[in-house]
Amino acid sequence: MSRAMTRSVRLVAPLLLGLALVACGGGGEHASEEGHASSSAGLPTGRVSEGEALANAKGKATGQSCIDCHGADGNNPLDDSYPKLGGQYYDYLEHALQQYRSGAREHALMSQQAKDLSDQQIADLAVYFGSRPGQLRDLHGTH
Amino acid sequence: MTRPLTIAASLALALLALTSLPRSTQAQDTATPATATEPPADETAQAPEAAAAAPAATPAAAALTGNPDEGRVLTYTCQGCHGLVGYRNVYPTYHVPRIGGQSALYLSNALHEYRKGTRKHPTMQAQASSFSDQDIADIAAFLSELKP
Repeated sequence: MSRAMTRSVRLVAPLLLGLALVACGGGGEHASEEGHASSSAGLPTGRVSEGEALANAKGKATGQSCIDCHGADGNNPLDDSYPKLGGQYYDYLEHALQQYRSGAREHALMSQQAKDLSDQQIADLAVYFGSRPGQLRDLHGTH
Repeated sequence: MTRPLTIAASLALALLALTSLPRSTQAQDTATPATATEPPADETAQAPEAAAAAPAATPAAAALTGNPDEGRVLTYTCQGCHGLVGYRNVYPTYHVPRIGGQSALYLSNALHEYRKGTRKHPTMQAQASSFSDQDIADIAAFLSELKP
């Protein structure tokens, strides 16, 4: 009886795990659209005003601030090779900064800018730029 | 008595898991038709060329003039992920970025980096591997002209 039970638990456990993973990964709109909720990446909740201050502060390694290169509100990049950040999804920006910090994504300036950022600072910057008005859009209705 | 119940439960769970799956594989599914329309000769020809020209890839690509009309056709596939409002990448979970309105150079660099493998994302690397330099210029031209 108990052997049968443990066997069925063994059978069901991976299925439950799989189901949980699929359920977590699904698309769909949630309350975090406004960019104030903590992300699934385990970062703390971002704070817009702290993000704004940090976006204007000179980075130690480069002597440049975010705004110096990406422009006011992240909407006016100094060079065409730099992306616009205003209105971008905050959780994508968090992901990008985490990748630069870890070395998974590399850029001469961004790798330096991101390497000493804390989780809280990444969350703050991402929410700040995500909250700015922007020129970016998804591709719905474009074809 | 408990045995049939647990078996039934696991079957139901398996069925649920299977019906939920298409959602997460949507990107791959939608990607297939467009990449299949690419001429296969083009794919094999461009790979060594791209590897040889790797250091100079960015300036060379920037010199190509993109055709937004061609780019419109090539980006049908992109809508599978970038065209759904609120659509999320699965592991790790974050919104697929808004790419309409970025500069042509930024978009072109991103696609070249994915194609070379210096920027990593499984779906984007797979997509970019099928694009020629001209395709990338066309896509960048179309996307960069989009307005909010």
